[in-house]
Amino acid sequence: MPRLPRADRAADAALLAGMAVGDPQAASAFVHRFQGAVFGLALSITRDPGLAEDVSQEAMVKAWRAAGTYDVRRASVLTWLLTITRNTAIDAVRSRRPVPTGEEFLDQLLEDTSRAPDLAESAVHRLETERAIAHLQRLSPEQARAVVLAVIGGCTAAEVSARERIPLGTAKTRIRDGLRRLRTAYAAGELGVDHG
Amino acid sequence: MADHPHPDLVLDLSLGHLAGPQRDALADHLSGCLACRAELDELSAAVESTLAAVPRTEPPPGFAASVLDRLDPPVHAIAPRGPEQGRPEQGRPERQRPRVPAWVGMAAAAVLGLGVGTVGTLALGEGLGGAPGTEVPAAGGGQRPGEPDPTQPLPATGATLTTEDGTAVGTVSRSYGEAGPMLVVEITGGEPGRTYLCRLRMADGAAEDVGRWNLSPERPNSWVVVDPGAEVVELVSDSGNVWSSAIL
Repeated sequence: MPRLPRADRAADAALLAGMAVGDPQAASAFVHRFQGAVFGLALSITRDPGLAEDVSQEAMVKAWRAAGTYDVRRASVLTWLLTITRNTAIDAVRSRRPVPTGEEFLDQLLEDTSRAPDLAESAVHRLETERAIAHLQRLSPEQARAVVLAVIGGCTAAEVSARERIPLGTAKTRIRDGLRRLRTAYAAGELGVDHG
Repeated sequence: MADHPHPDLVLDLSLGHLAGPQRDALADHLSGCLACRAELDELSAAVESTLAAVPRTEPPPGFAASVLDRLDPPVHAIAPRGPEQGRPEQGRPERQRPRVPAWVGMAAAAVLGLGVGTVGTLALGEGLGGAPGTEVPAAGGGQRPGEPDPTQPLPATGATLTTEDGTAVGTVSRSYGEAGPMLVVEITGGEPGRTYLCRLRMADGAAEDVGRWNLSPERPNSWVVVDPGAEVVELVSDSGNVWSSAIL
């Protein structure tokens, strides 16, 4: 799988920089480029379209305010922005518990994250997404499901336990071991991760 | 350090599900325990790396416009011309603007392309560990009904890049970053695969070549270049003819 050099990240970073200094075209392009991923994650976690839109808008504004903290050497803009989105969504859900169980929604989420997407996005985003999915596919199916539910679905370990009908301890073990395996794979540079 | 917290708490924190006193207590422990800190960092990094797998979902119509309106000041309202664009308006407190990131210059340099000159080349080499001479251009995302088309220039923002027969093929906008005045060049027309030299012409007639760019099929093709005070931007084909130009 092709590597993701830092130079490719810089194109996204240039848009973020342009948005930070108030460039209207850069801001518009930035929002359009990332809105599908941001709204998708917000919806996956909140399972409420109205709340997801609020979360997505807040995440974009937070990104604009925090543009100065972005470090192109540490992560891609996509990862950085999705981390902001996830934190915002988790906070929003925490204040609104309980969220809808959304069994069908979670079923769809698990299905969608198990195969390569057909993204109308830039090549670098497609590569980054395909890489993340490829890493998930290297886990056992049980681990992958637990990780997807916990990370992208925003589920607590208890919610993963209830949904998967497994003991809480088993759910935590699957999530933790899955994350450790993912980290090991990324650190080892499998599937062409470029940290340099 | 004795009495490590239960590993489940570190996992919960990495997933964002720890709050209140439990989170505070764990934070205290982490500040002095390298082993637990390393565990948290490992799990958090894995969480971040997985996020890109999220299925994309288009937001409701009007989403982008709502976001842009929430920026302070709304980016729709920024005066489109002049080298001061992007700087805080007179009388507006500096703190209301986002901090201009230190990597602005690096990011700009990374999309400068060939022949950018010493400043851009050095910034690229020091900050990004090297980059190809011809950069992959930035590309636009999807469009929602009722929202501005990202493949088309926004109204009254920037000068239009036109070919000799008057066809609009993009825009050039002035911007500003830590590296100083910048130009944002967005190309919406042209044939993918074609390569053009970007030449800036100053008021005194001097010319400066700032990059050689290859058009991607993904639109718009966007680049940011340091602005030495250009009056005209020209895109020159390999044959030496001016394909399109914009008067700033």
